[in-house]
Amino acid sequence: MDCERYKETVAAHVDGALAAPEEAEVRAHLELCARCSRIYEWESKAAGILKEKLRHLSPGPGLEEAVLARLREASSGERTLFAPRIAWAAALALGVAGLLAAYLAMNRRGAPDLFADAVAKYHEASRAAPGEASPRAGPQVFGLERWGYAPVVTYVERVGAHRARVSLYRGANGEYLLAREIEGIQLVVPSGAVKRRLSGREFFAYSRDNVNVVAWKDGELACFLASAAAEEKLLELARRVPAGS
Amino acid sequence: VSTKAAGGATGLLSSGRLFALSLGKKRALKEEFERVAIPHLQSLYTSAFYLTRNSAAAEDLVQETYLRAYRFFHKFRPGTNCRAWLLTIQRRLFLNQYRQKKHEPEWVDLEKLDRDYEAMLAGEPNGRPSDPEAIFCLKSLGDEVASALGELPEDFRTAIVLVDIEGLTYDEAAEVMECPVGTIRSRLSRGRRMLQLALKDYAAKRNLNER
Repeated sequence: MDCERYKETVAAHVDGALAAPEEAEVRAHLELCARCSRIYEWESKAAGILKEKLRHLSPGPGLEEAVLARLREASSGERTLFAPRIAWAAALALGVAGLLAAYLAMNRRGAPDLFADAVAKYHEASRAAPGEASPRAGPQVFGLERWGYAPVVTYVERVGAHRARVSLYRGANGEYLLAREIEGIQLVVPSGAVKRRLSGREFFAYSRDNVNVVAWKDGELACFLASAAAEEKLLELARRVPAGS
Repeated sequence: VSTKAAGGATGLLSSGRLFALSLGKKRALKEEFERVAIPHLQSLYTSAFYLTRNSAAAEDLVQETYLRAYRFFHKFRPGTNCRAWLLTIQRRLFLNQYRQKKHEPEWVDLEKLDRDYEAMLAGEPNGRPSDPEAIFCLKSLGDEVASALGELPEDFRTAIVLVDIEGLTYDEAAEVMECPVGTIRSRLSRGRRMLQLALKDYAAKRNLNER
């Protein structure tokens, strides 16, 4: 364990939420590092005081009644749905809604959600990954082997009319990491994403289905890292990838 | 012919009976839903308030959450944490509304956060040893803690609400926020630091006003 990793783990350590092996690792680090010991001491005091001050808030007196009334309404509305005549009308309405949704989905195809796509690609690539790392000749996307990631596979593909390069890596703990760059495509940021600024550069962090995605724009390239590893770890890697590489 | 007629009548009776049975089942389901879900009203309201930062919007969000949860109650697995299940539905609903309003994501400067936090730990410029109690003047702080929490970016704010107020485990909080548990750890670590720095500013402003 190093100081940087402890910084990410301190809340879990203070809360006693670490598994035994990691807890032992943290203790060993704290015995050697006076700075992190001081951080631990401070954070436990601060967390204790904050937890005492952070409380549940009380809603207005009518909220429970309003919720119960809406549930009653919903429940009686639901019953009428089962009356045969209305069931036909409902089926017809559902059919129309389905057609409308399909039409809207067709029109939305112009701007693919590249973040969700990175998550899907990560699942697909890590499932299909061969057991052994087999580095290919030629450069890997973002050259992450410099930081201890073993290249597993690299390939070229197309995203619509755009050319994309993908490398799948494996980290020291056996976790997979997908690196992907797409040429000349607009980076549309979905609103579950959060912006982060590091070393004067802008990154977008996004999370879905237990996979973290960090994306950034590098000139004409839209760049993506996707992994089940912590968001901070991906941000740190993304920050290290030099712009224009 | 008479056997056929009798069979038809029985068929009609049993579909009527089935209808009545299904009504009874629905009533029982609604009662069961109210029994397990309504006790979490205050938790849902607290979390909704910190998501929307507005009490009227929070009450609307709570109502919508209950309606949606009731519609999908058949998907709830008895024996699992009902509060976490409701909070997951609530956050999804909020994020969908948020998306429709096309809000810009919030900026977080992590390097600045680290610098400010280190400076706070290093103590005041005059070299006084620092202590969280002394820096936040916490004994006299009240609503400022809730206001400071409300000011944090959504993902940090929600991690604190789920773990520090709702008392969810890290795994449960990760399920609600639909992210890996490592992300919860780092959001909590950073979020608590942001909160401390905000409280330090509140305390400094107040000291200035009192002087």
